[in-house]
Amino acid sequence: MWIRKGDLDRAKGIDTPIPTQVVSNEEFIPRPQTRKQKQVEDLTMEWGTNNAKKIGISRRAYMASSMGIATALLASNCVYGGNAFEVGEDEQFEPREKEVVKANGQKGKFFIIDVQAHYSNGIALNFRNSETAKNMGFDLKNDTEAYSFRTFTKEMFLDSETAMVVISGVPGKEEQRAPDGRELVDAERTPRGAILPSWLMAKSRNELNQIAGSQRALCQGNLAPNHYWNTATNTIDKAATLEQMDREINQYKINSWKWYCHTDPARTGNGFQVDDDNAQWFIEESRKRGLKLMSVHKGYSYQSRTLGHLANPKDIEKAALRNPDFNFVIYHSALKHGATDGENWKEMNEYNPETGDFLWHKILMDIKRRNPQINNVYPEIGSFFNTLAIQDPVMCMHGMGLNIKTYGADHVVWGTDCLWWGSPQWGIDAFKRFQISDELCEKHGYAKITDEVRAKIFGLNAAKLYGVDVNAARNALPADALSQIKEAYLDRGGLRDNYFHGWVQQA
Amino acid sequence: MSEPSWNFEGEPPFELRTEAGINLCAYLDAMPDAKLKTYDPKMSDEQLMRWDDNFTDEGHLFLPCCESEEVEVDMYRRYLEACIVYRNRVRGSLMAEA
Repeated sequence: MWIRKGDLDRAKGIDTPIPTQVVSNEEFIPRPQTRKQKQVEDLTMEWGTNNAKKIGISRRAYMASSMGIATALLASNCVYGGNAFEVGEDEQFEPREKEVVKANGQKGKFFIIDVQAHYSNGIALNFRNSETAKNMGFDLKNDTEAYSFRTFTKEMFLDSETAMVVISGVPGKEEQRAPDGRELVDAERTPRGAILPSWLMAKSRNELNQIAGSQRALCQGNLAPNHYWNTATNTIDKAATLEQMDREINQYKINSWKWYCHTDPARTGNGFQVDDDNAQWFIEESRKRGLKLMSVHKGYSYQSRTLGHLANPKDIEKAALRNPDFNFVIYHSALKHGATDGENWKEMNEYNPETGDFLWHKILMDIKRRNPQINNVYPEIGSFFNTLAIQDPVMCMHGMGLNIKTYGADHVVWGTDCLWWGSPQWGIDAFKRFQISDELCEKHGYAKITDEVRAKIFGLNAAKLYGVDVNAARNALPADALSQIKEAYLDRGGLRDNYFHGWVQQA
Repeated sequence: MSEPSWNFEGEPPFELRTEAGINLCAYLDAMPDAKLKTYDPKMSDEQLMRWDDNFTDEGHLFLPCCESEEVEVDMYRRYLEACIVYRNRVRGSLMAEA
């Protein structure tokens, strides 16, 4: 039985501020907790409990603080060795504000843009209320609420330092017309339910920005070359595709496309590739309409021999070379982690500790090695940095080191895949302190991660891709309503829940 | 004995094949034959979910990447029973090749 990590933790009385095993975002089978992850969990709980007593606050408040996160990172260093996280013993008792360079070179907080933020509108979870589910004796909490927009807003903005989010799409198409030809609107366009259809992402972005009174959210559009299909000719339905393209660009005003090549919402029996003819036609039509940002899921895939291989990033090479005016953001940095790997996942994914390579990340790296002139491909690190950081910090050093060495610090983009991982703050704190060892830097030519590099990865790179004026956006933040709500929330003792929404196996 | 190379996924669809259906076929192709043979059609839905052991506490099969459709127990049972028919048909020849 699979349950959410947060539910498992609560049943066991655990409230660590960092998930102590990899949680699944439903793109791979959850892996068992390793012995070392259990050690990190035990140490964090022991030290956190003692530290909280020492400074006279509740354990819950302690674990929700930056001191709690520092304790968990110290526990990770202790268990794994190698000091992957630069964290001082004193940080267990005294929060330390991390200062960094702003875009204009002045000191200030990092400007964080999370380009991979998801939530569910709950429609897809209706099974919980079905008679079948009720008769099975499951303890059904209201997950629509738990994973809703409100939770999303709280965990992304009130419980973390994230300044802006890109609401990131998931596979799914919209129905366009009723049987009588009437144009469908909003929820009518996804009559069977959908997790994050384009219309909803746009609506949520607008709502967030209206609440805030400043630009806090951007959104993606899900339309892809295999969404509207002429089954009679087994070819793309170009008229329907263009109608939807115009709708998503002009009406929804999406900020990027989000493609999943290995999915098949139109039931064509196949997926597509970024470098195939239909995708190139789509790119050319999008170019005419002025949208030239492609966010593409690569990596995490399933076992289907028909579809699974289409998540391999090999198709990015030709597409990037052929379309130098487009930018291609490669989600998960193409970390493969297939659907069937378990405890031996590193072997299954051909991790080579001598070279630091692993599937399909190596394919993404090789594209740039073969084509140093490529300047329009950006590895994104959602469910990449956070997954590797808690699974194997040395592998994480390789993954991040290779991304930066190969594509450049100005081409690596921050994303988290939250809310699967709960509030993104633990990942933010981990990356603020994450460092590559001297040994690996010397052996592999990796550069040390400086605050200047962190600033780029955390937000400055995404700002360029999305056309965000960081200084203007940063100046607007203190006065906006979301900042004021956050201040009031913290003043009233608001605490991060440390609830991780992703899946793990029930022990 | 090694597991034959099942290919239920490559069989002609027995019902309109969705993305979830394709992946469910692939999922069943990875299921050991010995386990499949222990399936009892008289199992209740709850027993079936426990038998598989890859359902979530929310009542759907944990099938990676199928975000547009949940595989609930009714769909799972239909595909499982079709897969059993497929395996009964090809088992002999595939075993002989293995």
